[in-house]
Amino acid sequence: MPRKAMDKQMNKIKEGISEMSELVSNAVSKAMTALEKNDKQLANEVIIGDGFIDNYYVHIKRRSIQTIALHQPVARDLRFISISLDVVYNLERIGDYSRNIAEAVEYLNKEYTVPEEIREMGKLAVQMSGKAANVFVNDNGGQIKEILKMEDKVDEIYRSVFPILKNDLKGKCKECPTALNMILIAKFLERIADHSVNIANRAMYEISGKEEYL
Amino acid sequence: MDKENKIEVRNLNLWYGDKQALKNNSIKIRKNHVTAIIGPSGCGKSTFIRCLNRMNDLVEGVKITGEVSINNKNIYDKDVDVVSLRRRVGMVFQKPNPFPMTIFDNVAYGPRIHGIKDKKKLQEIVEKSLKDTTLWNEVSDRLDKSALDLSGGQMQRLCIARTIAVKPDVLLFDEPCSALDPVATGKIEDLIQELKKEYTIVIVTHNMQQAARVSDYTGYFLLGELIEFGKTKQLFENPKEKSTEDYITGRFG
Repeated sequence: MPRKAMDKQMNKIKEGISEMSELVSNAVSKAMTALEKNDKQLANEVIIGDGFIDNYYVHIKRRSIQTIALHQPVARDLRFISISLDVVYNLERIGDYSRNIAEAVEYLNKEYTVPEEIREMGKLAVQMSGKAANVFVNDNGGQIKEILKMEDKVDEIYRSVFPILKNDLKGKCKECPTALNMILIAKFLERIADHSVNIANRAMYEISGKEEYL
Repeated sequence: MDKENKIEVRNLNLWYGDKQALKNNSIKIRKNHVTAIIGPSGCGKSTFIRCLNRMNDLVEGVKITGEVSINNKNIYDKDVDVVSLRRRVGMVFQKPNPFPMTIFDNVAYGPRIHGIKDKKKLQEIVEKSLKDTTLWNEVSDRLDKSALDLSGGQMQRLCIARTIAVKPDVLLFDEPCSALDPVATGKIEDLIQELKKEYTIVIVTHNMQQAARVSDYTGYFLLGELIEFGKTKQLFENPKEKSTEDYITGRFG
């Protein structure tokens, strides 16, 4: 078995994921800064930057599939390839969410303040997105506990921030809490639609082998 | 599928003169399953499989200790008839080796030796054996032609037909596809899946992907020792031993 060729592919995948992870973490950070400072130019940078992240996603995925086809990995190699596909998928999603945050900047009132809770969530999200891929790229199992701890914190803030926002809105308009929920529901539905397209695209890739569906 | 063990090997040692080729190996081989034996050249995998029908008895200066039980009977016991043992434990080799005679006579050879003379009975056996090895449709109109005119893949299936014509219990395959092209290899692999319904199969292969594709259990040998033995799915996804991992991922040597 050409072990050197396999190692070369795995190293390239690792390098790609490392770079992609840095881009993604930066995107989260920039999106939050753009939001906090109402910086439309920075927001635009994040939106454009998402295209680069998508490119990384496509390239790493293609290389992983080629590695499976050409080198028939088994054992740890197989786990590496299969996990790298999961990792780039999730990084790409994080990139999309950063773009979504950046896109929101355009539509916000000129005068607004980002609640402290959301700033805090943003800080944690930046750190987590940076560290997550590091566990994979550097086999750094020690970081997983740290990441889980941060997730608990994010969850805790998320649970607290919702009633706060609702109460804020209640004073301003009666229908606002319902509207807020409806927006969230609309968002979930949009996500479901998006994932459905992903599934259909994957199926098309299986049927046609065409890279446009990769 | 049957959960009983067909073959139980206990503390098997083998020496060629002073050189120890198998070191105290114990292994249980499941009935109606395919067990693959993998490992680098010289690891003892062929020597091991040859112990299962006492083919090593023919090697000069060989010494064997331990026990190989098939159907709960130690085949190294003194009262074992080796000819009858080799009928029950058939072997297919790397290079297809049909006898220089007709296709029919190749398959009928074993049954004739074991005393079947009735023509109709022989015809039945030949037809069934050739059907079971998916060769019948390809050769039924030329059974009286020389077996040496067949393609490599057909020859190998003929050798398998010849082996199963004497109704063995166990089939041993020693690198059965290494002289075949991918299409012929695919046919043999499909055939192995069919044959395991009736037989217990042990296959030695250098081709790890083949071991992964065809077997239910895999044993990994290194320097005469069975390093790891387990379900094929587990061994190829998450092996327990680092040495196994190094070998199957090509890091070894």
